[in-house]
Amino acid sequence: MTASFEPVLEAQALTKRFGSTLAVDELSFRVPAGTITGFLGPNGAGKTTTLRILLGLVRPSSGTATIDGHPYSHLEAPAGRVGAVLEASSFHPGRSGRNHLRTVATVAGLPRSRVEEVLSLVDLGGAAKRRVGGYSLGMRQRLALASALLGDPEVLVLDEPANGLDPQGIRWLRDFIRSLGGEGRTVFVSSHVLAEIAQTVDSVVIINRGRLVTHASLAEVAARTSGGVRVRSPEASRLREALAARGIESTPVDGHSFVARETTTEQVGEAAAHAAVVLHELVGENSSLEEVFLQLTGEAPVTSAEPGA
Amino acid sequence: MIRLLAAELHRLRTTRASYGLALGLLAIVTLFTVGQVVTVDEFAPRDIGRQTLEVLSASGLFSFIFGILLASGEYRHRTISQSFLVTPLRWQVVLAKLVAGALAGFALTLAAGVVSVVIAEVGFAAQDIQFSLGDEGVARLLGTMLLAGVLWGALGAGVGSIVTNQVAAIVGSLAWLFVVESLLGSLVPDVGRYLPGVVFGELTDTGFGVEGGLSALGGGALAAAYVAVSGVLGVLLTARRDIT
Repeated sequence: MTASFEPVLEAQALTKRFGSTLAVDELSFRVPAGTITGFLGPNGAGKTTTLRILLGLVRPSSGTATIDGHPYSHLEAPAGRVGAVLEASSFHPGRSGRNHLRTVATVAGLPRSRVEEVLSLVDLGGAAKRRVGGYSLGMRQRLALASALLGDPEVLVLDEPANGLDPQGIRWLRDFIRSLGGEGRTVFVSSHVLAEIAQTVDSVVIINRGRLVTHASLAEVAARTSGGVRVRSPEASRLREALAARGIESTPVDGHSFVARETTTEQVGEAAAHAAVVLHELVGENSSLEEVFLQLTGEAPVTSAEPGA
Repeated sequence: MIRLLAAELHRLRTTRASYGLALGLLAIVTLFTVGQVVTVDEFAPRDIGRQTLEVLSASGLFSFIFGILLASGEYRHRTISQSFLVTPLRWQVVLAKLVAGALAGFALTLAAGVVSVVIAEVGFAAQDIQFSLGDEGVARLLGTMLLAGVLWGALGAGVGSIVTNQVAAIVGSLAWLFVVESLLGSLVPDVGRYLPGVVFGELTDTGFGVEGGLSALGGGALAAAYVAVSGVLGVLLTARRDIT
């Protein structure tokens, strides 16, 4: 398998209404083969609905979602093409992990030996005969992954696989996803926390309120980290005017402080000296990826007004 | 299709609820049959077989509930997503559940029948009372009971595919069978005699039918029609359902 620019997963003007709620709104994106792509957005942004439409579980109100150019329901032997982790809780609590996998393997026409293979792949061999009801969240996530990998699919769709995992589990997952990508598989993984997948993905599709915000490589997203400068001054409004004269935009936080956008502490300091404005505080804010993400999705103010932030 | 059915049966074999329901049924059948054997004097001798095996109509109800559980359980435990991922043509999944429901109904009724007949054979023989599986009445009754079990199981799977909320499906069905049908039966007998619970009774001819009701053959045909309608509705609704 070699990476190509052919899209494996593709959404075109995808729209889904649940009653009066618009869950997905004219969403279009393409996930190229052989890449690990993050699917980001705050809770309720429409990620799960989009993924479920891609997987043929939810019918779109309009638009199309395809895998290899076909709707999911037209795929032959889909388990061998696409593996999906949707929610870790979706197991019958009274059945053992091994029995769950055997049921899936039976339907997919896979040998029972494959069940043992995926069990050891996700380090679940020891717990395979215990009832799923007694599994920890991390073990359920692993079982869900094992289930997705049964058919040895080239494409993996993972919906919030890190949800509820402890830091150790998240690290395990990260390494695991990376190794899947290293095998040339296409991975589309959703999260509402950028940091969870920032070290794993090549690019991110970011959505908010059902609409596409951006689809960019992680480097491009990071480049938007146009550092802001937090300023506190008794003459804040005068300094803001001086900055505006130099083409530097700013946003007030309160009467005495504001945040200057896309600039540096040096530039603001010079402007303050020129205007003879007293500064009480001048802090360069290295906005993290997470803050960029929050800015892009508009879920939080540009900067936090908390002291020491 | 065969693989889907095998998976359904594997699911049933590896779920404790299956055994719980089966044991519950066998306990009822055992208690009732033992009771019949002990209190045998009260019957007219020629009706012994019928009176004794009447308890098997309980297996119909159990098969029905079993069918509901097996069809709606995947929604309750949210494993239905997984099933539809592996088999995106959902009608195949529904059909497999209908067949599994039918087989489960057959198995439950057979087990109940064996328990009941064995207890009756032994119990009556000890009292020198004539009761034999070879009796035409007994054999025919067992046969129609098995057929009813098959149909009840499939009907349950159909209902469970239509109403996927397990509690709603079971409570609603029981309310229908025991409240709505009897009300309709007494208020509008012309309609009442064609209702599902009644026609299943006619099929087995166990006294649950109504006066002027259908023949066993007619009841059986109408019962099968009810199963078919529930199956078709189940397929249509399942195909359109959003699995969120």
